[in-house]
Amino acid sequence: MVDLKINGLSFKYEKHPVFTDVNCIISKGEVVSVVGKNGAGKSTLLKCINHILKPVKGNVYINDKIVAALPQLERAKKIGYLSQQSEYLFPTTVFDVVLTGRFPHSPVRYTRQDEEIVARILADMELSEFSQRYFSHLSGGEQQQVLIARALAQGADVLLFDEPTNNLDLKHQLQIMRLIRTVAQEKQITSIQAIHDLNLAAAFSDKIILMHKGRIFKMGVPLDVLTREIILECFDVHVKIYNHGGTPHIVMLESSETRPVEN
Amino acid sequence: MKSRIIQLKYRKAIARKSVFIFLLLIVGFILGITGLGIGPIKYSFSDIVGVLTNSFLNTGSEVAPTAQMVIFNIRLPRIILALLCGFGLAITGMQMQIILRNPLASPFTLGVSSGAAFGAGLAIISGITVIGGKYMLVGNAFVFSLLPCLVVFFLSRIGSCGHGMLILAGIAMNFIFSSFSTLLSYFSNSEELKALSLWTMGNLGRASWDDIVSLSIILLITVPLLFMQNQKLNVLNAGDESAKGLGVNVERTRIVVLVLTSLVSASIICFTGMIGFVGLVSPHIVRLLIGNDARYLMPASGLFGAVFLLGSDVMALKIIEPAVLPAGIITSFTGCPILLYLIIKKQKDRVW
Repeated sequence: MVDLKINGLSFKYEKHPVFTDVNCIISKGEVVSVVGKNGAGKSTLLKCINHILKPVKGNVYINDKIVAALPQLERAKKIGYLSQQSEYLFPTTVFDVVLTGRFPHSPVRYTRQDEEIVARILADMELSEFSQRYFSHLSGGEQQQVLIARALAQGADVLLFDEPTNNLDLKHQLQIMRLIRTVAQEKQITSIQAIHDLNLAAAFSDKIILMHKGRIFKMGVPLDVLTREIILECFDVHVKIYNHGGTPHIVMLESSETRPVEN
Repeated sequence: MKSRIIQLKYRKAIARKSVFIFLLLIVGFILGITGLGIGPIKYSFSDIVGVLTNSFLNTGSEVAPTAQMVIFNIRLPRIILALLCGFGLAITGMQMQIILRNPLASPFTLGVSSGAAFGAGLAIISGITVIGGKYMLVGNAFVFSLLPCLVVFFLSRIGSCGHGMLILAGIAMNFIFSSFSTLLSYFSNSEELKALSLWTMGNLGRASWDDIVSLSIILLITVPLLFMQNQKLNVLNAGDESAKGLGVNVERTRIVVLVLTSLVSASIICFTGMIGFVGLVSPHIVRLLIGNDARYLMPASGLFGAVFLLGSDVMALKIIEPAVLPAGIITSFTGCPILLYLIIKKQKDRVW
């Protein structure tokens, strides 16, 4: 069953193209990592999928419906987006943050049912002790969990994560990726994340999309995409790859070839 | 079971906020009634009740004609104007802070006040007015206070309407109209200069029942519309991109709130002159007490602003009796220390 289809998607900032003619098909419940150099267009691709940025060409389909043609609230019921930084400027409690996830369903007034849904999600994710604390007082990992709770309250079929493990320590990086994985498996929610850490991407993704020079350079299971040659070509870094039972493990090599020649 | 507890906690927090709003209502009411007795001539509670029942219920109770005159025609309009202005300035400040994503935003950020001052100056000094008659000063102030926000509005239609751009455009408008005002005062004589600076100080003493009726009509139309934006403002607090992802039309919401708040603040400022700090500080104080949920923050800030401005006006009558100071001076004097205190406290609490 096809869930998300990206067809000939292109995006430009002014005259500067970010990516051109991106095509891919992502099945329901898959965890997909978008990797690539800084500026390769990972974040931009995510934003184009749910039309936060308007692509100049191409379409995104969810179950054969064009995302761009959906009214904004309908789109928000299908696709959730978690931005790179959590930007709650004014003090907002965790409960209120998660409650905003119900906005697409109750744009005028939240109902008791919305409150129940939020309370249940917070309880399920073991965030109950935080419910009346301010979001800005939580640690980075906890904030990321709360945002995932908000996305679950949104009830979307597809979640887009813009660098979910940014600024997190090792333990919390793993915790968040595990959570994404669990959510994808248990609720059959497709999850697409832009991510820098190739090892995390390899360990937790069904599929990896490698963006390079404004195109999808390679797409497939981690072992096929994250090879020594491809990483050298796209990231300009020498690596050694170990195969851990089907998951590639990448070790960066600081060799003389990667250093610029000094005169 | 756990989820039940979470929901109960949330309901309790909501109940606390509602109680806070209710308390502010009571304080405002009490302050309003006692304010009627305060001024160069003191009146007892029974005088006040007598005049009020006489005027509104036609009971025909025995009151001195001067008491009727002072309380009904001078003090009551002044107190109602203080309440309306405080309410209006505080809710516009609160909503602007959220749509512009800037804790320092207030009705003055987008140049509303400097536009009004220029309009008033134009009427006083050059005699150029938009409408004639007794409303020429008010009319000028109103029209010119909307000019900067119109410019900002059209700029935002061209660009992407980000909050940073709106603030920069507002600051530019502020500077342009301030320099126009300075230019005007450079060519004015001392009489005109005094009239202008008195106008600018912010004074509730000019209130008449007609002013209150026109202001009430504007508020009755705009406040419900602004109130309907609160659910969206809560989502906008998550940042533009997240809000778009949650289905909010960020640009449209921003423009709607911008236009409505400018209209409210312009119609207040044109009657009162510049009353600073009510719009800026009230939302912050209330936010520290009940949090940022706009659905409760808006009525609470509004009522707090109303109480704050009325309290300042009562103080303005008391400080150097029998002289009556402009309320705008008191709000700045009391508002500044509160703001400084909040800035220091905010560093400690990491609330913002």
